[in-house]
Amino acid sequence: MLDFMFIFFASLALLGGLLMAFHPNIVHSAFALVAALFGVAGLYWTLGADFLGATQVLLYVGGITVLLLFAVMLSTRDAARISIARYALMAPIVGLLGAFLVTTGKALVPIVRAAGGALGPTEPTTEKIGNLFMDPTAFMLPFEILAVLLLVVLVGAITLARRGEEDAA
Amino acid sequence: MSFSEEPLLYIGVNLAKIIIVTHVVLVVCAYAVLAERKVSAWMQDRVGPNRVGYFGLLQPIADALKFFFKEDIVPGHVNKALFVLAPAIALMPSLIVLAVIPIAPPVVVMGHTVPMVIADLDIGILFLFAISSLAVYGVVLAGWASNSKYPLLGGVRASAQMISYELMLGLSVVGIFMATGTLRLMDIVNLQVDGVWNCFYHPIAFIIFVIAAFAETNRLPFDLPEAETELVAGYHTEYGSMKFAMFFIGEYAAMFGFSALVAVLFLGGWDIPFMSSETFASLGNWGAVVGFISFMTKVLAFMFLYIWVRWTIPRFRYDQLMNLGWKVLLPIALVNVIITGLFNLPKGS
Repeated sequence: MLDFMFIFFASLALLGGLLMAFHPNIVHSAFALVAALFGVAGLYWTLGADFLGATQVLLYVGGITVLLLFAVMLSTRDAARISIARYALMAPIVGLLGAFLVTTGKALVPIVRAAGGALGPTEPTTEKIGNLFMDPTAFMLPFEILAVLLLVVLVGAITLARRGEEDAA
Repeated sequence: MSFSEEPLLYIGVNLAKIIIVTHVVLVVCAYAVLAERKVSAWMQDRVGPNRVGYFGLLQPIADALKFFFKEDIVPGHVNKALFVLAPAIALMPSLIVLAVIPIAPPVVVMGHTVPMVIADLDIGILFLFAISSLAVYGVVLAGWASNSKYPLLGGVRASAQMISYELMLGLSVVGIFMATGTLRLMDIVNLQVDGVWNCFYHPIAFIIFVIAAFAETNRLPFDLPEAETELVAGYHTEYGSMKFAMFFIGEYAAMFGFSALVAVLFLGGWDIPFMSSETFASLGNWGAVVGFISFMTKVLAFMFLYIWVRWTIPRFRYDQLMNLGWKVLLPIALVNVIITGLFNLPKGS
C-alpha cells in the first residue's frame, strides 16, 4: 500500500510539474501546478508528516496558487499563450523521467521507509513542531527572522501598491 | 477496532458511516432548497411551491428529475475539459470535509466502541480548512472556462473574496485551539459536552466565524460572485442541467458543512445543556441517537439562519465587502487571539 501511495504521489508531483513547465496555456499550467503541489503534500503524508501535508494544501494549493490564477485571469488571452514549440521538448523528458520513476520508484520505497516513513501519520506532529518553533535552542531564531522578513515583504508590497495611488491622485 | 484485527467489520462500519453521512447531507441539501423557496415565499407574502405532493414536499424530487432529463449543453465557445471539470470540483470539497466532522457520541457495535466520525484525524480542523480552501477552484475554473465576461468577473471576485475570508475563518478559531490545545474535532466536542459551549467562552470568535462562513459559501449578503443584478448569474451563467445542479448542491453542501462546523466548534456538537458524557454513555446506543438529533437540530437551525439572512439583508458592495474583511474583521480577530492568549497563559508564568 505504501509503495503504491508513494509512486502515485511522486508521479502526480512530477507529471504536474512537467505539465506546468511545458503546457502552452498558462491557465492550464497553473492548474498543473495545483496537481504538483498536491503530489508533494501527499508525499509528506506518506512520510507521516500530517501537519506539514495539511499546511501545504492549505497555503500553497488553497492560497498561493489561487492568487497566481487571479493574476493570470486578469491578463489578456493572448498573453496566456506560450509558444507551442516547447511540446517538442516535453516528449523525451517525460519519457525519460517516467522510465526513471518506474525503475527507481521501487528502489526508493525502502529508503523512504527507513527514514521513518509510514502510511499516514503514526503520531501527531503538530505539538512537536509548535514546541520546536518556540524553543530558543531549536528553531526560535530562524522562525522569528522569517516572521520579520514576511512583515517587511508585506509593508513593501503595500508601499508599492499605494505609490501608484498617490500619483494618480 | 482496527483494520488488521477485524477487516470485514472495519470496512463495513466505515462504509456504513460514509453512506449515512453523504445521504443525510444530500437529502438535507435537497430539502434546504425547498425550505429556501418556502421561507422566501412566506417572507414575501407568497405561497411558494405547493403543487408537487402535499405542501410541495415532493418538489425536490421533481427538481432533481428535471435536472437529470434536461439536455446537457456545452456552449461552443468554452474550454470544454475545464468547463466539465469545474462543477465536479465545486461539489467535491464540500462533501470531503464532512469526513472529519463528529456527528454523535460513540456507538457500540458488536462489542467495539465506534466513534461517530468517518476519519478521526489528529489535525481534523486543519484538514477541513485545507480541503474547503479548494472549493474556490470550482468557481474560478467555471468562470475562466466559460470564456465569457460575466462568468470571468464572477470568478475573479470569488477568488479574491474567498481568499480574504478564509483568513478570518482561520484566525477566529485560533483562540479555540489555544484554549483547548487540540486540533481534533472529537476532543473539542468532548470538552464542551462536559464543560461550557465555546460560543460563551469565545463570543467574538463565534461572530467572526459566522460572518466569514457566509462569505466563504458565497451566500447573501456576500454573494458577489453571482450577483444577479450585475453579473447575470456570475460564474455559472453558462451552465445548465445537471452541471448547474452540481454547483447548486455544492453550495448547499458547503452550507451544511459550515453549519456543522459551527455546531461542533461553538455550540457543543451533540451536547444537550445539563447532560454530561456519562448521561450519554448511560443511555447506550440511544445516547448516540439523542446526540445525533441534538446535533442535527443545531445544524438545521443554523441553515435556517442562512436562509433567513439571505432574504432579509441586501447585498454588500464589493468595496464594502473587502473593507469589512480586511479593516474590521481582521484586526478584531487578531486582538481576539491576543486576548485569548492572555487568558490562557501557562500556569506560573
